[in-house]
Amino acid sequence: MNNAIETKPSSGLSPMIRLDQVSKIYKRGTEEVHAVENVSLSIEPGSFVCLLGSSGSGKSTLLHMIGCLDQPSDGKIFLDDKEIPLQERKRIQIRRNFFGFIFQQFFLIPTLNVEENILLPLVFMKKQKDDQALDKIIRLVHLEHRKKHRPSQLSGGEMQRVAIARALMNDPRILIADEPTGNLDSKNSIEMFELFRDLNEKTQMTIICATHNQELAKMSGRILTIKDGKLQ
Amino acid sequence: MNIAKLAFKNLWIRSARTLLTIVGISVIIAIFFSLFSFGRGYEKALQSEFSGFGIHILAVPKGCPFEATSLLLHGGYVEGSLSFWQLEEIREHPDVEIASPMYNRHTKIHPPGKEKEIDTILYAIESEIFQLKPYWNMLEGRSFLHDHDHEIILGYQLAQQLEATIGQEFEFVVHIGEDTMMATGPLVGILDQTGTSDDNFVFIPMGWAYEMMGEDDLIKAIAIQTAESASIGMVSTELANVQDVQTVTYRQAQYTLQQLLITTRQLLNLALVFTLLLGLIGLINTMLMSIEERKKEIGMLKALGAKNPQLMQLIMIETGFIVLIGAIAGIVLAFGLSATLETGIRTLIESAPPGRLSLFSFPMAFVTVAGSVIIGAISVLLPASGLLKISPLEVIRNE
Ligand SMILES: Nc1ncnc2c1ncn2[C@@H]1O[C@H](COP(=O)(O)OP(=O)(O)O)[C@@H](O)[C@H]1O
Ligand SMILES: [Mg+2]
Repeated sequence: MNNAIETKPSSGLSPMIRLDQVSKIYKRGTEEVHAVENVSLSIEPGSFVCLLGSSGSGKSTLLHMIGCLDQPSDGKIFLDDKEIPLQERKRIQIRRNFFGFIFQQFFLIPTLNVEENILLPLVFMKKQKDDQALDKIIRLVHLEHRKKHRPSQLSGGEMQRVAIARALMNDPRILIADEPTGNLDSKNSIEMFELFRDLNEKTQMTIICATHNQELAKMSGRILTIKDGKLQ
Repeated sequence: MNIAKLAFKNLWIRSARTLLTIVGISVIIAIFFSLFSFGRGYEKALQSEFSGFGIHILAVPKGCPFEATSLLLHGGYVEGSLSFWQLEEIREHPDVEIASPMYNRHTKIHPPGKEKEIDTILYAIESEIFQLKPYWNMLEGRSFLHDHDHEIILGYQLAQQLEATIGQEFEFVVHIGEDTMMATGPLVGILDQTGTSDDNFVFIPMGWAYEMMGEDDLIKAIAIQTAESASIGMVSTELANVQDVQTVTYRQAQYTLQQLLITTRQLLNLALVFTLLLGLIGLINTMLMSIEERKKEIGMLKALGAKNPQLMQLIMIETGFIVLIGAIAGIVLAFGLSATLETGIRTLIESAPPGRLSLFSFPMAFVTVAGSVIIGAISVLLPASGLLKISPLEVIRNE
């Protein structure tokens, strides 16, 4: 397996993430956009890191590359010192087994209730529903009283918590959150970050969160500031 | 939760779209199934009409012989008439075994004193016709004893419609030139079901018709049986030499009607192909639209770990279900509309044979449903292959 990483976590521990001179160049016609330029960094297992930067600074691009959703144009990304392979099949496996994702949009399915939305990833993983795990996750995101509600009956904060629970259902080692508070008011945003902190402390899950809000970023363990695709 | 349940929930979200698609498919299937069943019924009806036919040649007044034949077979008014001297001349031909004159004209019949009145066709016949129509059997009562008796025989279906009983008096309209008169007579016999137009007609003895109408405009056709079936063609040609007489052999008539059927069938087949094509395009379009519209959701499911085969399965179940329900609804619709369709066809094709034109068969219904589902699944492959290209990034980036 020429030094490629295992597609499954070897233990319950989060892997160390390391980026080595990673760049991403988008081509728009003849123009080249350097969305991410020569980024090198390491993220310790079990840390809560915030990517702070204004809109268009390259936060999403960087998160996508870390989460195996996109490939770097140049440079290498390692999980536990093993390089992420290029083959899409293996990348999907890594994505499934290591990562949970949360986005600004909640992407809940309107006809499914809270519980069903949370269980959705298991449908595709062909995993059996584990009631205990489900209850634990629902308690973690404080949705005990909302289990049978439809998304339309929830507040924005609650919907995002459903999305978090859904991301957690697959027991990921790394949670990637791209502007998760983009659609939330400040009170809900603070609660969301408190939840992340709580989650990070309780489970030692690595959390990487992009935001343009400096105040929120301060609630994380480490801030990486990004500007014009470069780490500051 | 599993993929099937998710598929149903998806259909449920888009209930309006789902319903519309189902309605669309059901209409297409209904048209398809009706056309198919219709062709079959037509063919069968034609075949049964000519089977066991004892009439070898039909002599009719000059005009369009096939039109006249078809009108005679299924009822209708024939312009012009034949005379007794022509009948005599035909009877004198050495190879002619039976030559039986027939009269037919529109009539209305009802039991006296009752309101219920039925439009049908009055046939005046001689008893010899029973030899020419060996499939005629009496269900109740008897046939005519004397050619001048004032008696009535009813076809099976008409008798049922009139709730007729032997001995009951019936009143019916008789046309005499431009005028009409009412005639009354007792019912002496009811014919057993023949599966032909005869089931709907009123029959009286030729002699009685002669008394009422005189000899002008009386003989509309002469049914002829030859001594040897091998000589039918020759006899037909020779009889055509009688002045103002045209002859049609039953083979010619059958052939003509079959040609008509073949043409009709070809048209139907064309219509079938177009209906299917239309349905297919509609379905592919709907699925393309639906997938295009659901790119985000599908990208999201991919980000949640859904693999292409699983998404394919999801789309297949959704399509399969829609097509299944649509096809079943379509077949039910076809059953419901078959009566209306037949009436329409009969107005278009006057010579359409009697009996049910549409023959529904359950195996065929099953094949149609199964076929639709398979075709639906195949037709969705193309739009669904678009799924493979959707990247979760497309959704996620779009902020
Ligand atoms: N698919 C793409 N094609 C071309 N340019 C892109 C694409 N995605 C992002 N970009 C560009 O890359 C830069 C970084 O974008 P992004 O990573 O989305 O920033 P952020 O998430 O910090 O707002 C922006 O200039 C953006 O316009
Ligand atoms: Mg972004």
